[in-house]
Amino acid sequence: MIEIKNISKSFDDIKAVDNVSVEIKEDSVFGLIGTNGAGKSTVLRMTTGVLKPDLGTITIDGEPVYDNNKAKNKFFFIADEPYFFANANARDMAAFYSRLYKDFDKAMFADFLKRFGLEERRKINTYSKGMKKQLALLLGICSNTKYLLCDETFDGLDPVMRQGIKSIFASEMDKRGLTPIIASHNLRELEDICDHVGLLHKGGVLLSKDLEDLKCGIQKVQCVFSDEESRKQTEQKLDIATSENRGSLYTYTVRGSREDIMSVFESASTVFFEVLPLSLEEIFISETEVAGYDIKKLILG
Amino acid sequence: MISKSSFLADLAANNKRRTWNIAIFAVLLLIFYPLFLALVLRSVLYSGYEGKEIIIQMNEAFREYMCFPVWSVVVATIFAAIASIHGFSYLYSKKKIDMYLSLPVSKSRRFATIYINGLLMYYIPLVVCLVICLIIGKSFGVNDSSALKIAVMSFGVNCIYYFSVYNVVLIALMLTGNFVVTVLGAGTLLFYENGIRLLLLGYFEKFFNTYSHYSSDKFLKTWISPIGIITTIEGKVINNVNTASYTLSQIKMSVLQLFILSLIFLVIAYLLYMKRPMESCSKAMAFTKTKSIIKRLIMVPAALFVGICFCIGSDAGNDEPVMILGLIIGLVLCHCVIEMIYEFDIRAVFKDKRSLIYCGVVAGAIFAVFSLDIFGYDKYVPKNDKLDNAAIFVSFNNAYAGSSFDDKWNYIDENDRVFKEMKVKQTEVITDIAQKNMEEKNNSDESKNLNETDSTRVQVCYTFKNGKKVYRQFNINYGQNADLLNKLFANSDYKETMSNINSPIIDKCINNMTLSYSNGVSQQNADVNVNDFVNTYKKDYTAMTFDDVYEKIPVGYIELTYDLSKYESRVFDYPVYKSYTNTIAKLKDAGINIEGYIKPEEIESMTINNYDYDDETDTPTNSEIAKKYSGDGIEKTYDDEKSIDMIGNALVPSDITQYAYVCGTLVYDSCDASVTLKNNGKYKWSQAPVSCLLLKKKTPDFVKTDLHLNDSDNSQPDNLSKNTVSRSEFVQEITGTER
Repeated sequence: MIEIKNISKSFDDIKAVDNVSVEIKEDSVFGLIGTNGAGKSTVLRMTTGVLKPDLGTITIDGEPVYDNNKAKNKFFFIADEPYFFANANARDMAAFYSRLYKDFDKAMFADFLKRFGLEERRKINTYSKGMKKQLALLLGICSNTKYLLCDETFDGLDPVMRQGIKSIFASEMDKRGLTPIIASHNLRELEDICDHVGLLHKGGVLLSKDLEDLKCGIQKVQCVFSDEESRKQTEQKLDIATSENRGSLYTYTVRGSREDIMSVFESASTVFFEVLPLSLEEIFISETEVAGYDIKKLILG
Repeated sequence: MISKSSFLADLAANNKRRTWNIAIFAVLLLIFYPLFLALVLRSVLYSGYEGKEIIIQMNEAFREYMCFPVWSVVVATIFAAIASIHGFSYLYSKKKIDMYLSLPVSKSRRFATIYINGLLMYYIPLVVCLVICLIIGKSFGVNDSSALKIAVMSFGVNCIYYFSVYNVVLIALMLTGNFVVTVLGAGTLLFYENGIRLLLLGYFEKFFNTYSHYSSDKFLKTWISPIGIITTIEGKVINNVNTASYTLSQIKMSVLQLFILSLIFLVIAYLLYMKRPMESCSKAMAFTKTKSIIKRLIMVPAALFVGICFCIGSDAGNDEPVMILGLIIGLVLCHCVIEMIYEFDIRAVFKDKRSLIYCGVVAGAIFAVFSLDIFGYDKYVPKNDKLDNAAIFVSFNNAYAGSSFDDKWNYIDENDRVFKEMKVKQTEVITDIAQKNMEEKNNSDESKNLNETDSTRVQVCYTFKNGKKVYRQFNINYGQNADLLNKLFANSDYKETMSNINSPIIDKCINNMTLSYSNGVSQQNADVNVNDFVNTYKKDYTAMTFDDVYEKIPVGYIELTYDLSKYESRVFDYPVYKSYTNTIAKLKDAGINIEGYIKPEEIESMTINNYDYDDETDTPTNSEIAKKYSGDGIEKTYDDEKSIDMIGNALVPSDITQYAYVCGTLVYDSCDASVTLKNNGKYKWSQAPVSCLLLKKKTPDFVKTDLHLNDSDNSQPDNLSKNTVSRSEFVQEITGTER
């Protein structure tokens, strides 16, 4: 488990991270989301021991991370702009990482390169931005570390590649308990992959919860009421986060368990109703409103 | 087999990424050392020498090229900077930092890997080059074992120097966040101490009239600058004809200093590396706290430097307002430049005004310390009870102090010899002179260029009981200090070392010396017991008072000659004054003719030059003179018997006046006469004309008119104020001899 306790970091007069505490459990995909400048990269760079927090502690499986090889052996960090040696090819980079990560799987790496259509001997500086990100991800996966920290890594990947990587993640999680930690400003990118999310804003954590817990506490319902009176009575029984209507079709985002909400609608006089899947955006809209933030401004602009 | 995780494997992996660096170093070192050496030795081979001479020339060429060459210092400096910056350049890049620091490699191990590679990439090719050079030298016939050893020593010193510069650049790199600022920072660190010392030297020279150049050693002896130390080492071996053991003895302390300093730099660089915040990449300065300190440490001297630059070439007597203006301009400019570099933003030029004010106050205070002489530097005369001894060197006007030599018969400066040998225990005789003259007006700027022939510059060295030495210089007027100078001449410690007649080197070889006497025109060998004669001379010299030599011209001088070889000799010259009665008697006993200088009847013609004549201020009235005017003065030739007879009385061979202690007011110092002698005289004259000076009091009026001579500005000693018309009387008066 990665434990981040009360870390703060300032760059000159700018407070980039302010008293952030997050626990990242094993065998899950952790999504770290936030706007540009929210402090996601700084948190990740501190988590990987690149930066030293001004305050607070970061431990990986109980080991402090800063300048500690024992902790660093447990993760692989893919920065937002991964660095490759000048004139190096994929094979050179694999050779380099295989010296440092004793479980680096060269055979698997070669196999992945083929599957992703990356040429082993082609100079990396001739790769496209997306190819470089794929290569970084493959190097990270093949390092066979317990944690894989990715900073905006999925940006620039096409949907097919993204799906490919996601399936590799799923497979590796299943096979050896890989724990990917993915920082992104794009909620849509993370919603189908993350188990747990942390939302950063202005250097602080707004929330950090399991996606399932979030999903259990909020529901999206579409409904056509039989009459106006019935609608009013039903709405009074619900904890509505948002509502909108198109003609007689009402769509609610409602807090509460699925069972409770279903029972409210079942007892109401409706022509039709159904519970729909919630997007991550919608969950955050509701959750952050509770905390007094306007999520549309925070995340969606 | 090397384990994947071993340190050697790390070095090899790191080297893979620095191959271009290694290749360039190796190729350039091979060109600079073996290739160029081979070319140099080859050129000797085809230079026409034969036999033993060619081996001598080979050895010399080898020494010159391989033993502490200055270019190797330049090469080492540049290579050290490249290796250091290239190795740790990842600290400039966020991308690289993100990768390197997230890897399971400790910071210290990464430092060690890159650091050691940076050293090895220079050392290994250098050692290979050394071996090749030695082989090349041997193959060309170089057989000077000392040269070969010194060459090896030179490489060793070069390695230590590289080590030190490498570490200094590393410190600069750790303190800064991008390449340009690192280069500026490295330059600042490498030259900071030298710069500060030169600046202080400049201010001492500018503001303190009593500042002696002997104090410069204190300013120029660097402690923490590798460039300063290597310059000292190079200075010590510049004459690299010595043996290896002698060279080592000369440089070992400096080399040790350089090595210890390098280790200290390494520790500092390492600590900075460990402390360096990784978010500082691409910023100007890595540590926020050091920004202000470094800025102030640069701004204050920079302002003072610009201040002193503003008065360079200024003829104005009072430069201080100009200097203050320069100081302010320098301060503001430096502040703006540093802020621009710090922020990479021209709009930041007036940020941090507090620093500007602070540096202004400090620079102003330092300027005031010098300008107002707040610590009384120019008035400082130590208390006698604190002194162990003192030495004084009076550069007597027109006095020829004689040649002095060290143990190896190399020429040494007479002032250096005096400060080395003189230890006057009764320090009052010197401090009294200092006390009287240091506050005198004659030390002011206007009189720094001594133009009074009765004044001279005095150098003083005080040695304190704790061994500390303090040097001062000031001007004295002989006439006004006659009493004190008489006291000084009466001091046995002073007299013992004032002249080099008592130097041990003379005692050592006195029995192998020959003696001759000259009256400035002709030289006669004296067949005497030199040891006995010199003892007699020493007796007269010891008894000599200042009054005996003040405004007197010697009757002649003796020369002691020691032959070092068939082709080389060393000569010691000493004046013989009227008061040297025992010496004169000995000379007469030896059959030496002491008849004075040149008789008019021996003169064929003479050409007199007045070098001070200026056609813009002095309009020639005589057409003949106008014709003769050459632009560099005025000259006139006299060849008629009447003129020669009248002028002849005024001639003193300039050779003689060189040996006089004080005779400046007796002769025209800007005028000389080139005298051609008849070839039928008593002596066998050489064909070359004799250079003479003109005695003011004996120079006929027509010569003064012809040559526009003006003697009104020079005061005459009282003993010469009366008009002595008889030549023989005059000669007797100034020398004491009869003609």
